[in-house]
Amino acid sequence: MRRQLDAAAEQALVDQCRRQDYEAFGKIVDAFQSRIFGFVKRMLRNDEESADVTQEVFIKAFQSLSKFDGRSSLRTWLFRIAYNLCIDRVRRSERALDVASLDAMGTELEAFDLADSRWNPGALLDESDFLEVVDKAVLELSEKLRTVLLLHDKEDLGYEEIANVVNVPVGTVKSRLFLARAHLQKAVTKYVQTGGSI
Amino acid sequence: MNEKLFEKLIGEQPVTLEEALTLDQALEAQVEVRRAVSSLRESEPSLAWRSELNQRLLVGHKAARKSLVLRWIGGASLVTACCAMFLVLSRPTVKDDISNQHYVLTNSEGPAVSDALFTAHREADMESGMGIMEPVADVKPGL
Repeated sequence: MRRQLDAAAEQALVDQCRRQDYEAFGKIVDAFQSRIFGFVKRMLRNDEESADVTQEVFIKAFQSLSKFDGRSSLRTWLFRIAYNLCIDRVRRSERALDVASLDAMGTELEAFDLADSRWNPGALLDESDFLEVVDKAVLELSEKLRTVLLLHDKEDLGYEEIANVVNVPVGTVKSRLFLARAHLQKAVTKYVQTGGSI
Repeated sequence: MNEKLFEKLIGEQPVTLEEALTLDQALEAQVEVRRAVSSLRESEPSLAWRSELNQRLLVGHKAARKSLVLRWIGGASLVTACCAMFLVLSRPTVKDDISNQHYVLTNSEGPAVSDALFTAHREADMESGMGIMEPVADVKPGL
C-alpha cells in the first residue's frame, strides 16, 4: 500500500529524525518501504538480496539524515541511496546483466518507429498475463534503461529528479527513457503477435 | 524518428533543438507504455522484514548514541588535558624564581636586608658597649 506524505509533513518528520527521533523515522519507512523495495527488487532481480538492500537504504538514510540538505525531496534522496546501493551490489557481485544492451537495440531500428498511439496490447491479453509480460521485459533491460524507466513510469519522478538520482543530464534521461519504452513496446508486441508463452 | 537521431540517442550524444523536440514528441507518443509500467504490481515487504529492520535500526541507534557519548567524554578529557597542560606551562619555574629574586635584590632601593640587619646589630652592640643601653640579660625561667 502506498502512503503519501505532503511536503509539510515530510519536512516535520525530517526535522524530528534529525533529533534522532526513532518513531518519526518509522513513519518515513512506512511511507516509502514498498516503493523502495519494489524499485530495488526490479533492479537486483533477487528477492532475498533486495530485502537486505532495502533495509540498508533505510539504515543509511537514518544515519545520514543530518546530511540531508533538503535541496531535493526526501523521495529523490531515498531513491538516490537505493540506486547507489543497487549499483554497488551489482558491481560487487559482477552481475553486469546488460541483457538488452544499447548496442544490441540498434540492430532492429525499424521496431523503434514508435509514434503509434494504437499500441494497446493490454486489450489482447488478460491483465495478469499482460503485466507479467511487461514485468519480464522490464527485467530484460540494461540497468541504465531500467533505472530511468522505473523511476519515471513506475515511481513518477520527473526528468530533473531522475537526472539528480542517476547523475546524468536531463537529455540523457529522456533518451534512455525513450529507448527503454521502445524495448518494452517491442517485447510486448512480439509476445502478442506470436502468442508466445511467458 | 530518423536513423541519425536514433543513433545519437543510443550513443547518448547531444541533440539539436529540433531533435530534442522530436524526442519529446516520441516520448509523448509512448503514453500507453508508461501506463503499462505504472500498473505493474507493488511489492510490499513482509512484517518479518520490518521487524528485522527495526532491530537493525535500534542497534545502529544505540551504537550511534554510544559513539556520541564516547566522543563527548573524549572531547571533555582533551579539554581537561589542555587546561592542565596550560596551567603547568604557565607556572613560573625555579630558575624564574631565582632570577626574579635576584632582580628584586639588585634592583631594590636602599640597603639590602642583610646590610640593614648587620648595621642594626652593630649599633646595638656599640650602644651597650658605651653604657647607653643595658645589655639584655638572659632570663632563665625558674631562677
